[in-house]
Amino acid sequence: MGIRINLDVMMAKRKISLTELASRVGITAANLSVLKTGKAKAIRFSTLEALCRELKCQPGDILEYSQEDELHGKEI
Amino acid sequence: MKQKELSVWLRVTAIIIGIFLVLACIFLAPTSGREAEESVPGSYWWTVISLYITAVIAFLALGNAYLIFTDIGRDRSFTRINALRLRRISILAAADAAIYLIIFGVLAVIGSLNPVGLLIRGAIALFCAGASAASAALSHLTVKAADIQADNDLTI
Repeated sequence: MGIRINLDVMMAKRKISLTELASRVGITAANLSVLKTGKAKAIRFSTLEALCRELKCQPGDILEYSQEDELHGKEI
Repeated sequence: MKQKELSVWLRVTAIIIGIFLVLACIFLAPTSGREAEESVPGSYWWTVISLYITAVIAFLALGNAYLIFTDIGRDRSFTRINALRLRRISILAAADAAIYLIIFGVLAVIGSLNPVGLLIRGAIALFCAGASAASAALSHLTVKAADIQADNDLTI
C-alpha cells in the first residue's frame, strides 16, 4: 500500500522497545509488530493517538504517504 | 449456548444423523429394492445402488458439515475454507436432489411405486434442493464475513 509506517524510526529515536511501547499503548506486542512491519490494513484513531502520546510525536512522523510504494504495490 | 457447547452439540447431531444413514443403508435400501423388484422384475440392484449412491453423497456432505462444526468450536467459523465446504455441501445436496428426482421420475413413469413411496422420494428431493440453496447462500455470506474478519483482525 502507499502508506508507510515509520514506527521503528520513532521507536529508535525515543529508545523504547516494542514490548514496552505495546504495554503503554494498550495493545499486544504481536499487534504492534503487525503495525510496525506494515502488514496492518487499518489503524484506529485511538491507537494512533496513544502512539503519538507515548512517542511524543505527530501522526505524520509515524505515517508517510509514498506514491512509489503505491505504484510498487499495484505492480505486485 | 457457548461456542464450544454449540460445537459439541452440532458434532453429536452430525454423528447421530450419520448413524441413522448407516441404518437406512442397511435396512431401508434393501427393503426399497425388494418393493421395486415386486413391481418391476430386475430392478432390485439398480434401486439399491442408486440409494447407496445418494447415501455416499449424503455422507460426504455430512463430513464437510462435521469439519465446519469443529471449526466453530475453535473460533474459526468465518473462514474461506468453511465457505468452500458450504459450497461443496450445496453441490452435493443438489446432486442428491437430482438423483432422487430421476428415481422419482422413472418410478412414476413406469408406475411401480405406491403413492407413499413417491411422496417420500419427492419430499427428500425437495429437502435436498432446499438444503442446496441454503448452503449456497450461507457460503456466500461466509466469504463476506471472512473478508470482514480478516480486515478487522488486521485493524490495530
